[in-house]
Amino acid sequence: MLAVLFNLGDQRRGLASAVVERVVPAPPGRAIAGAAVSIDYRGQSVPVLDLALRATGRPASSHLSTRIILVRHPDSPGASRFLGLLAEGVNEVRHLSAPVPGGSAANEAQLITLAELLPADWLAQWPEVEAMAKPSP
Amino acid sequence: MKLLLRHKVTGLALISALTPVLALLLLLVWQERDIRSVVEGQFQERVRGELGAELRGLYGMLETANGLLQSKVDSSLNVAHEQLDRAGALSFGPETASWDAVNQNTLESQRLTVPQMKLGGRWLGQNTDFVTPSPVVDQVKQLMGGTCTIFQRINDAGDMLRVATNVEKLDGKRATGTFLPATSPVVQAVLAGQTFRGPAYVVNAWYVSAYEPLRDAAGRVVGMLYVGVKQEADTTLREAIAKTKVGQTGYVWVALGKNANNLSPFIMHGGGAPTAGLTLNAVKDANDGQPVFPPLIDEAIKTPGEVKFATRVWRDPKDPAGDSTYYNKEVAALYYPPWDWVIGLTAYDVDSHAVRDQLSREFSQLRLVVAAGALGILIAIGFVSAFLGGMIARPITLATGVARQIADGDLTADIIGHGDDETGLLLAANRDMVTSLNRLLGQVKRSSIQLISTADEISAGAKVQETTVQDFGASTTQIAAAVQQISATAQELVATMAGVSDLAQNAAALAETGGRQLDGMKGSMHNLEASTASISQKLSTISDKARAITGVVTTITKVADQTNLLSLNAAIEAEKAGEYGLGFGVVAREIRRLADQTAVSVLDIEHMVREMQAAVSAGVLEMEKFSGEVRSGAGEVGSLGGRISAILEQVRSLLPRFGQVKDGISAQSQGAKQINAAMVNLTGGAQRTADSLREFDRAVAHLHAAVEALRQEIARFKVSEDRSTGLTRIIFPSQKGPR
Amino acid sequence: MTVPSPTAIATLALDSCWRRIGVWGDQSCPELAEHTHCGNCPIYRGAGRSLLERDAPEDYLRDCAKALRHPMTPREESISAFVFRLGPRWLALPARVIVSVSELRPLHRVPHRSGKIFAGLVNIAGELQLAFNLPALLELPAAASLAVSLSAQIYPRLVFCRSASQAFAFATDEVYGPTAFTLARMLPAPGDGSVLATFSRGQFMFNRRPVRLLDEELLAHAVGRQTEG
Repeated sequence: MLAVLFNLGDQRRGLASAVVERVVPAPPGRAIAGAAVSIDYRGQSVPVLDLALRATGRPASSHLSTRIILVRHPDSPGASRFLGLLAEGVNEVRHLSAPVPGGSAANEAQLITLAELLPADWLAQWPEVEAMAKPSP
Repeated sequence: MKLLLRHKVTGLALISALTPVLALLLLLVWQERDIRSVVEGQFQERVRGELGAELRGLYGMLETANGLLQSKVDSSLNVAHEQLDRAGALSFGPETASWDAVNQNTLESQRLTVPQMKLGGRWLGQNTDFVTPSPVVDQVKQLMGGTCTIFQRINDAGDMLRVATNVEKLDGKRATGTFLPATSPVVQAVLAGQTFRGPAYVVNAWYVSAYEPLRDAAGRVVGMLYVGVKQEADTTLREAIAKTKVGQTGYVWVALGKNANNLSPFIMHGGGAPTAGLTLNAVKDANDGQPVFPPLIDEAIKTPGEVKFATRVWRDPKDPAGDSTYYNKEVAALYYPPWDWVIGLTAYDVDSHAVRDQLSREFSQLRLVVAAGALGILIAIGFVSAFLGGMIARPITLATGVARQIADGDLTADIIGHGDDETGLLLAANRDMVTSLNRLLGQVKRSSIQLISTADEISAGAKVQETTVQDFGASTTQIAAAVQQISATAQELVATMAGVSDLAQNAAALAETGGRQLDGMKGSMHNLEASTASISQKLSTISDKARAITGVVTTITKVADQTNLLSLNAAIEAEKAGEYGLGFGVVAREIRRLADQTAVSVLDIEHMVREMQAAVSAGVLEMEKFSGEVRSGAGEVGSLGGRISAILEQVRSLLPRFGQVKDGISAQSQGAKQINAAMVNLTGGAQRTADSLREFDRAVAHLHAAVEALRQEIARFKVSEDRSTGLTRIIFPSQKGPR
Repeated sequence: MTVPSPTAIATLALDSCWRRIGVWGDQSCPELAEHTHCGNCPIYRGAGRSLLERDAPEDYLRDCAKALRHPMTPREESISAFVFRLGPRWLALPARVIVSVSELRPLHRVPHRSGKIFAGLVNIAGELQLAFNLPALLELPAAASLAVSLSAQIYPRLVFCRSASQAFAFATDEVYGPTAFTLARMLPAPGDGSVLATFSRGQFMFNRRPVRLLDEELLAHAVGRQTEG
């Protein structure tokens, strides 16, 4: 399946493109204001999760390749339609095969699911996400 | 015979006189010929003028006569017409008539039969006698007196037969029955429908005539009507012509023109013609034997109304021996076409002979006068020139004599002047010459005496000198030795100084070269400094450009970012579209590739810019370093140059001092040399003096001898001074005594 | 296939192997054997991506954020239609049914079958396909006026369609090509009771000309009936 690749720490991961709505540039002013909380996407306020911060404790770099992966969220009352995942190295899409137990070849990006990425409380808001995030063969 | 001066002078004068006279004579002879021809010309002109005038008078007379006759012919014609009308219409009857027609030219007769010619129905008949009247023609004669004929055309050719006429033949009968052939110009004209007017020879006389065509009702020419009036009804005209006077011996003549027969065209010539027996036709030119009249007549015919002239020579042919005179004759001719008459006049130049003779006589006289005059002048000049020649020759002879005397040694000759002319001046010059010679000789005599006494004195003095000189020699030798020593020392010093000076020169030269090279180097250093500065500037320019590029790079980076983003989103959408998105996926891939390429290009550019900037920085650094080194180098060069300059200055200042010392020593040396040289000279001079004194003695002796010889020579001359000063004269026997 | 690490890529980017041993250099790179062109090589790609590893300028991010705020204009539903001309009429079929367009080629008439509407068989891409005379099927009146073309050069073309039920080919006088029509702007086809009206789904204005959108299924059905009996 086609996956959007990004860096998680020093690992290269891929998110299934089926759940990706769009990739958009990072918001400005992070150096000053600190980690971004939300962005305005088509008049809608979309929460943003800094994956790099969660993985490494350091906020995502201010490189051009640091971008937001917008993932779709089924409409549910009280929650936004989209979710923004701020990650480093978002510059490639590639077809990835399902992760083979026992590890994949070195330097090969590995598929990762939303469930693995999102914190538990976020995931709780999205019960279908878990199902959706399961990689399909 | 020797040609003396006087002979020469005389000869010259005579020739001068003779030449113009001869020229004058020649001129006369030549002019005579010219004058003669002019006179001849004049004569001819006058004669021709007179002849021409006369002829024209005759011409006028003919014209008048012709005029009268023409009008008479016209009247006759009118009468004939009237008579014809009255007679009735012209017709040709059914009846015929037989004729023995006679051709009037050939006189051949032929028999023919033609229809009867009728007037008013009445046949004209074949009347040949004058008793029986013929219609129309007799009436015309009655009324006008001229001839009249009615012709009938007898054939198609146009032969015209006289059927009724009042023309009388020689036998007294009418000329009826004769015919004009169609070839006759008269018939030709009439057949053409014209009226022929002209002279006509009828039977035995010339008539002024008119021939008219007669036509039938259809207009065809069927006959002719003729009227004629005799040219000369009587001999009045001819007599008038014959009366024409042409000088003493000339005569008038008339000839026929085109109508003349070959034997002779002449119909008349006036009295006075010298060759009454000969026909004028046979007259020939006495010089060239050519016939005189026929050519002139032909010429006149060609130019009717214009008088033609010919000049011919004539001699009386009856004269057997040929001694008779040749005469020139002038012939004039004038053609009168209406009668075909050539009227002419012949004139002889007999009259002019007298004038010509007179002219000749005058010329001969002139020649005689000139010749006689010349002779007289010649004789006169001969005498005069002889006299003058003598006058010129005499003083010269005199002068020659005086010169001879002087040559012989006699200077006492008295020369008397002969006036102011050239010979006089010659004598005067001779006089002066004698005077000068006298003076000169006097001088020489005096000087020779003096010379001898002086020579003796000198001889005595010379002896004294000789002893002095010998003392002198010893002292000079001593001085010379001392001087030598000084000279030698000085030389050594000079050599040393020269060596030092050379060294100094070399040093100066080297310093100078070095200094120049340093200057050059300094100059190059400065250039180098300037260049490095410009290079630095260029480097900084490059640096600026690199910075500018970096700005552009930022923009391109943004584009690359956007493109990459686009490619990602496109790929995602394509995936979502499934099979429908295949094409879109292809596009997305291409965009991705494009993004990669753009990004790589940006990296390349940045790489290059960095390298460039690094190079520039390195370059700038190098340049700085280099520039610094150059500057210090230039500084060192400068200081070095300064030091060299100082050395140069010092060396330069030394040189003149060296020079001075050297010069001083040199001068000393020179001075010593000079003294030495002078000493040597002196010694030599003393020696020479002694020698020359001895020579001198010898010379004096010679002098004595020479003076003596001179005195002997001079004594030969007798000089007038001797008398006046009272000096004793030494008389030596001379070769020639005075004259 | 090895994916070079980011650091390796960064190093290589400085190295510019594509200019040294790649297609822009002396072409001695061993990877060329696999990728043929540097553009396909992951090292090249990686080098390109590495450009994005530099800081994003703040003004640029601000511009992007500003653009993202704008609500999306609702995209109007459109249909991609293939426009062609028969005589004076411009017609269209949904682009998805068009398989190929080729030059007119000879038809093979089928005895006892070829009639006014069924023209015969034609060779398309090596296969024999049914060819129909569309103007006859649609009962289009003969050209009264001169057609107004849309192109400078007019080439009659043979169009081959395949719908769910039928594959058929027909000749046209001129082909424009596919263009998108907004469904919202589709006008009702003139309902004059003609055969053409029956087959029309609607009408668009294209370059100020009316273009009828034909119903491809009806057409296919009608075509199929022709060949049945």
